Amino acid sequence: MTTVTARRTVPLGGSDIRMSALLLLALAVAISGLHTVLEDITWWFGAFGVMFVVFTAAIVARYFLRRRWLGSIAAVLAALLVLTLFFATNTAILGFIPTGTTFVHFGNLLAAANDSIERQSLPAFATTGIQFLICFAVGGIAVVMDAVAIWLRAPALAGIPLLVVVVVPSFVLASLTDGFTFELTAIAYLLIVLSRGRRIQPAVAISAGVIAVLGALVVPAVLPPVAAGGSTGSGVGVLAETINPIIDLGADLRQSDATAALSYTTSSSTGEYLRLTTLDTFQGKQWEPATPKLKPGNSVKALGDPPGLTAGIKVGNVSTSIQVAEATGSWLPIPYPSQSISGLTGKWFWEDGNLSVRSTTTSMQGERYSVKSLDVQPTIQQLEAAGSSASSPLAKVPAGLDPIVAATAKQVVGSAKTNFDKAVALQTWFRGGTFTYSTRTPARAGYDGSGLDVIVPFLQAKSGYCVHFATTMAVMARTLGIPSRIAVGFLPGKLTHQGNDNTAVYEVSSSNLHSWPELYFKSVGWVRFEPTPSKGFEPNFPSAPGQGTTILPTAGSTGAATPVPTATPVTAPKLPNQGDTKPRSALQTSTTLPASSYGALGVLAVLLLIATPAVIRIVIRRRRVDRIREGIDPAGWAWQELRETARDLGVDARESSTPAELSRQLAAHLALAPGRTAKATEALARLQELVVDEVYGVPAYRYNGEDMADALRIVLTGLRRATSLGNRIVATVVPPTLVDRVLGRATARA
Amino acid sequence: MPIEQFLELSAEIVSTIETVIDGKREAIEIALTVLLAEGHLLIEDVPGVGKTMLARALARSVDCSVSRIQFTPDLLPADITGVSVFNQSDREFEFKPGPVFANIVIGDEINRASPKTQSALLESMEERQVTVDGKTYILANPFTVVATQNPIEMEGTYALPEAQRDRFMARISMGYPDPASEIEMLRTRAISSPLDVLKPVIGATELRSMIATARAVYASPAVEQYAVAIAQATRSDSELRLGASPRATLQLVRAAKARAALDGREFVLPDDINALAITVLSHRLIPSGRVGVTVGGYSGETLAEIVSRIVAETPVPLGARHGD
Repeated sequence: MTTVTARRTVPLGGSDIRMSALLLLALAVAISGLHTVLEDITWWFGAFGVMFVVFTAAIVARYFLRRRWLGSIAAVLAALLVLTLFFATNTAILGFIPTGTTFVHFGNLLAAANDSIERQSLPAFATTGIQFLICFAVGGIAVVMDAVAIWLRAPALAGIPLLVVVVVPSFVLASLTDGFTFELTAIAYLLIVLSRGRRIQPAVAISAGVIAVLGALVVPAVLPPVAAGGSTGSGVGVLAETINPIIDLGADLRQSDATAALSYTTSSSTGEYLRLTTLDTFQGKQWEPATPKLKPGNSVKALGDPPGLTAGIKVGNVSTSIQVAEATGSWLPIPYPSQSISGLTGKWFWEDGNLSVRSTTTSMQGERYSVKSLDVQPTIQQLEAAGSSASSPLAKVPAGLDPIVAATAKQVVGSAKTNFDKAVALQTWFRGGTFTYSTRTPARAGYDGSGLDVIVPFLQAKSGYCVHFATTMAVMARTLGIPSRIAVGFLPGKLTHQGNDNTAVYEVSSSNLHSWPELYFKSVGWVRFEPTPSKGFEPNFPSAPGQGTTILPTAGSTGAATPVPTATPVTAPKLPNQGDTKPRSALQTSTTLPASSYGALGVLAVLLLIATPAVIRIVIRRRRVDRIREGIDPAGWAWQELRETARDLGVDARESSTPAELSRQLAAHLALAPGRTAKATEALARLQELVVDEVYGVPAYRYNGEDMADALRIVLTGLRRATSLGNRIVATVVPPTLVDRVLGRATARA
Repeated sequence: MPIEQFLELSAEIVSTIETVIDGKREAIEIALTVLLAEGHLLIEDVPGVGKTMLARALARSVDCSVSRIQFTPDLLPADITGVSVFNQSDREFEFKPGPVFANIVIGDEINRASPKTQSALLESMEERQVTVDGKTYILANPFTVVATQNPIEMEGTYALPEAQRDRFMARISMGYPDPASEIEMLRTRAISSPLDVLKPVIGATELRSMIATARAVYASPAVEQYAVAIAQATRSDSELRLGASPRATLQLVRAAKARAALDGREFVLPDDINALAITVLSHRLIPSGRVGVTVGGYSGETLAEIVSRIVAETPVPLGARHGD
């Protein structure tokens, strides 16, 4: 036999670069399918960066090192470095060389991602953790695709990691599968398979395609969709809704069983409105939170100064210790205006402008913290004297507002002169008895929500819940030139215990979810109002020194709800159960996947399991064919592959058969389908001749690996054609040679 | 010698011998293989099936020196190797070569001679030389012994010990002819002995040239591995008490080369090894107690089965093997 120098080095072909580009394209398209479950698209660029670096590193390494497998090693290293650079640069040497701390940080990020996924509703906000998870997964998938397609030369198998990416959304919700992305991915995959030209194995392509279709169509179909939360159907709860917490507030309020959200101990004499965030801008016809970009410097150790608050206003200090129970969400419930927060475990930052405290990585659930806040006590005179801020963008009346709203506002305020008087007049009007509190009416009458279009129906029906009161009062205030915004948070809750040291313990439940308007007064800042009848209490402003009385700017049959810090804590009325909706609160422990999804995961796992032997067999065959082409013991591998394929197909091909004997056996097998195997019979004779010359011939004979591989391919195809369907299925699903190998039986069957 | 000429001549030899022995082409081919591989042939069968005829026909087809020894119980070693006799005229001892000094030596009924005489022949077979009175005489080249023996129990026979059977490259048995061949034989023998009209096809020089051609056939490492693997398997087989010797492996490959040449190939295939394994190996093996042994000392059929099984179980090497 000829001595063959193993040609393991691989010249960098344009084909490898083209393949890498196609892999990049396919993965980039596949990953974009996640847009159905994630807000925004910034995460995509990070993921693309990672995959780009991975594929490029593999190409470069193969070019310089001339070893396919080294390219895969380089890909792994590159993935690690780029992840470090993107997510843990502080912990790394030179910003990208990972240290032990880096991996700890990665672990934390993954845990944070897990938390975020668990606590968020769809579409989820891509927190740093989630972004890391995506980049991490994309890095891993890119490495696998590169290795499979370029190192193992089985590009068709690259479809499996792609499939995993494509089906992720369908695990969450069947309807989230984006058919367009799926089609684009499928096209990219076909390009990958076709780019191999003559190397395509139709069986591989077809089986990969079948698996892909099964995964994308069947699996989502057998998945029961996730129960949609709330009446709006898109979210699962106000607190979990990071984008706009007001959307599902109604649904949360209507839920029949209130759960314990949090409890707090405060030195305040009245209990605290705990604010999550404010909604101050209109996005179309919808109130939206500002969610300014979090600045790393905005540590909760010292929050910013309350906007607009000037030195002349009397302030008191309030200490509150809060323990969050079941509530989840990425905004922290705190009194306004808070000055400092201590004891938090997660990473929280305050937002410029509204002093809300938010985290992109963790949820409030389980947090236990102490807040120092101000009790701003402007006098009525100070408020009345506050100038107008009509030019503020927060006083801008949303376009398209029905003029009747402004007209009503004007009518309500009547002769009130100052902004403060006007505001009080509005509040009094709402709380005065004409309006009733109901969570049912808006849902029944079709104006359940917080958009502009609910204002007029609400004003006509005069029935609604906090969202309607807050929205309408805020909008009306703007029509009067008073800057306004809506706060979302919790009512003070139920007083459960009063300590000796003037502290009180309150318990807040999900039914205390609330929203209220905040109005801006120059030199005082944002002032809370309470237009919702029977809810909470109105702000209490002392008269200026010397006047001697406390003016409660309210009137009406329900009476002024003076602060009642003792015996009668403010609680929500018992809400009727909404039979037609399925309220589901974020306050309940939320789960990411319904149990049935695990069943679907199981189905996919079984499919993958079934496909595994075939995939392994294909990889083995592919590697052998590569060796044949490269001239590494070509005859030995060709004959072994021929023999094992024959055995898989049910031919009693023994290792003790000489090439001539096996050829006769296989020729007899091919003769079973004489019409379709003529080429294979010829190729078999040719292959036998090449193998015999190579193995037994006088050393002067030269092998021809390419010829051998081509002949082998034709013979294998012919053998399959001449085999019954049953045997072919066995050969694919449980290849006997693979079973022997797994069971440790010698492939040398006598 | 070019392979074409080799094929031509060998075909002619086979067809010439076939005029004498009807329907025994396989036996003839093996006999020729052994001749070309410079081995010795043991033909074993019941009386009257043409053992001697085959040996003589083979000898006649080559125009070279042929001698025939009829082994009898009283045959002495000197009757084979030759003796030194005192030459009265020269007044010195003169060596009179025995029948072993021929290119082809036919030993008839070799198991009738005493062990002492048998060993005289067998030693000369291996060493290709004879030592008489301290002087060494080289035997002819080529030198091939074609011995026949009768397996049936007979008075005064001495079965060849295994050490001596090992000297024969191959053992064949003729077997009875099929009815058609037997009728054909009756017809041809009616007039005259066909052996008398048999003309030699080649001379000693051409035979040497053909042997050289067969020797030059290439045996790849894979084939060598295969032969060794089979030999090794016989040594570890539970059915066998004595396996094949290294000499057996050597002769197996040598015979395979001759067979390859007769097939017109310049290299040996595992199929050559397979085809010759029973013929070359089985007479050297000793079965363990479990196998029935015939009284004559052989249990050929059973041994052939064992060899056949071993061949069927031994993987055929195909180049260097890697794990994958």
